[in-house]
Amino acid sequence: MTTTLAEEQPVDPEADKRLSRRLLPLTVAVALQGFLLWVPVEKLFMTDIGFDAASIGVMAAAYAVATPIIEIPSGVLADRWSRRGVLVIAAVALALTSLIGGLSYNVPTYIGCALVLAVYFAMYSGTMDAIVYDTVLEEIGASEQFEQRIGRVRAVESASLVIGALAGGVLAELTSARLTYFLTVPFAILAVFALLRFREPQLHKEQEAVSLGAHIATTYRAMIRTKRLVPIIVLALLAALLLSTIFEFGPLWLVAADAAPGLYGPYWAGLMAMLGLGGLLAGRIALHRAGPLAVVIVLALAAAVALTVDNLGVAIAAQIVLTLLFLIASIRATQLLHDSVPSNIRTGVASGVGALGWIVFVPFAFVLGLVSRDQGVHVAAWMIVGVTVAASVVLVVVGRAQPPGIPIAEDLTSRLLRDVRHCLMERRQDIEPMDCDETVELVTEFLDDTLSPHAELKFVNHVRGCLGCSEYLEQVQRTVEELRNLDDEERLSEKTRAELMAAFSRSIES
Amino acid sequence: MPPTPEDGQLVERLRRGDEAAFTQIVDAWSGGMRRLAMSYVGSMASADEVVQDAWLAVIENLAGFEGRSTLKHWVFRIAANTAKSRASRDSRVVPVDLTAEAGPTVEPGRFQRPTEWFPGHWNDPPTPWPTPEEATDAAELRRVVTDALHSLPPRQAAAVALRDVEGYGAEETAELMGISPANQRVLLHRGRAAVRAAIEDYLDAGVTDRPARDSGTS
Repeated sequence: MTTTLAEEQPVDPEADKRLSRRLLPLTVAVALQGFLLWVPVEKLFMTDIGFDAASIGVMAAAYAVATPIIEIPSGVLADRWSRRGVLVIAAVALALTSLIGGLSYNVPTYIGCALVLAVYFAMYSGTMDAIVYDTVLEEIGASEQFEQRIGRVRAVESASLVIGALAGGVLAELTSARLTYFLTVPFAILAVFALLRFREPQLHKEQEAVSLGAHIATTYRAMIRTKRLVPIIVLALLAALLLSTIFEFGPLWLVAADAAPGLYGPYWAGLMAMLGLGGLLAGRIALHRAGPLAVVIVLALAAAVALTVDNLGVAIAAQIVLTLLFLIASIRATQLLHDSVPSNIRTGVASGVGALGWIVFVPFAFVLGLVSRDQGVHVAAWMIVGVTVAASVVLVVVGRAQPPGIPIAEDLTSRLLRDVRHCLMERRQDIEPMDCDETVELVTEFLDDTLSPHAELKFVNHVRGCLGCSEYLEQVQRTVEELRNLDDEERLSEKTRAELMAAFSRSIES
Repeated sequence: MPPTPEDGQLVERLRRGDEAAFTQIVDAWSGGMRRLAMSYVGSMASADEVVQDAWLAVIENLAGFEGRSTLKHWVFRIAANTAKSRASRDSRVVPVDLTAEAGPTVEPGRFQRPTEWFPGHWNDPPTPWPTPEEATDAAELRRVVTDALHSLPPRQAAAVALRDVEGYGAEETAELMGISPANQRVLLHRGRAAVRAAIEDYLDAGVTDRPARDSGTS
């Protein structure tokens, strides 16, 4: 009758294998799309066709304006049409942008290339995270697997980015930067075929009856009205801002130091390797604990300040460290966000947050480009120090306020899925987060299985992501156990007992 | 609860006049019966009389027991009926303590205020308890739980005693207490929350070598 939360339930190895098999085509597609031969030498190529530091900033800004415009419809498309379809569009856009880039001989055509690249990123970002999350939930039903799985996908992505970067650097050195653009096209096309072999999770599909307007409204409500999402969203924004800044402006430190063209490949490969390493480390670094959190913050601040120093080796090391740390922060923010919003609007919210990230990046890129051109990158680096300080503060706030998600038992998951179906049939859209003080008052009804499906969904959704409430539920169950073990020692008085025994004996005799 | 073979043997032994069997059930069940009676009559002295009268009725009617329910449920139902008629004879209805049956069951100060980052979320979350294996003094913990149960308002104590100590289901408990299953659940919820809080107080005060708060289950 009662359902227990699993403390440390081992994952069923069969289900784990099934999940790996199912994620395989997705992983292959990620690897193929990561083979971006031209990206490490992009800034060199851009300089060749007439860009300078400030116009690179303007282009980054233009790119940043385009991305959020495409982000919102991409999220809605992913939720209402097909996430796999959106990823296919992304891969096609990647093939197209590489082709346009290769055919560019001046600034305007290259800006066209950047705009198509924006389509790729808008379609890809958020969608991939969400599709992996729902596949894991559908196959195994444990949210703590999410970080591990997304980490593995990111590791593959990173490995392919590293190999692509190194190969691109060598190719540019031997032939020309232009050729790297053309050679990227076939990999993007192969990615389309890999994606078509992936079986999409159906979890979000059950929401088909929702009108488009209601969908956007729910996303908006989740983002604006739910106060506890605010610091998590701010963390995601700052981490994204820092990562974008390093990827868009990082090579300018090499340009400023007149680095040899051959250095761009290994430098870029180093950054990409951190993307993978960050994915692997994200699940292992306990950012909700004071010790690891302090180490991460001190390292990040030191690395940011190091960017103001005029030394190429120090700058490259600092960028690599910052990439690693902010990727870890970004994955943590993503997971907290995933656990705080229901599946049907998850992609929408993830894309919405991505869009906000680009909106913040526009003025930042613009100013950073100007400051870099007029004052040099080592002065512009103080802007990065500022963002790092802000991100550190938010990390502390989020880290202490919101504990990490906890796993749930499979029987509970099936109860949860039953509730999801029920709510869908009833067209209940308002599956909003529940607060802890409401949750603790529903524990007995939950254990008696008398909650309405809608309430139970909210309850489980909350308990799954809240260490305090899962502990509370566990303690109530322990309390019940202790009560069961109680042999009520409250005997009747000896006198009463004796009287009863006498009456019993008399009744038998008579 | 359907009757079991053991139940049949127990009835057989009682009908044969097995005093050991009778002593056994009197000692095992009287506590729960007293909790049940208390929820009707309100005073310990009256409850004890109800329990005694109920046992006398059991002795008298043992021959007529048909085994349609378990012996225990039959005995508890006799106790409930005895308590009910005793309460109406005394024109005494246990005052429903409204303050004890409304409001939050967890100290509101343990949640964040509306002005904080996560309003309504834990500010002082429960810390993990040592497992039963780690618990050094099981007898002491049992005493804490017993004391907590005894200091509950009578109706909550009855709900907890019947549901958790005696192992009755929601429907049977509601029937014995003469209330709706929903009301039974409200009483149970408040009772369990209070017992949990008592265990927490005991563990927080008495055990020093516990894992630190942030080294939770993850």
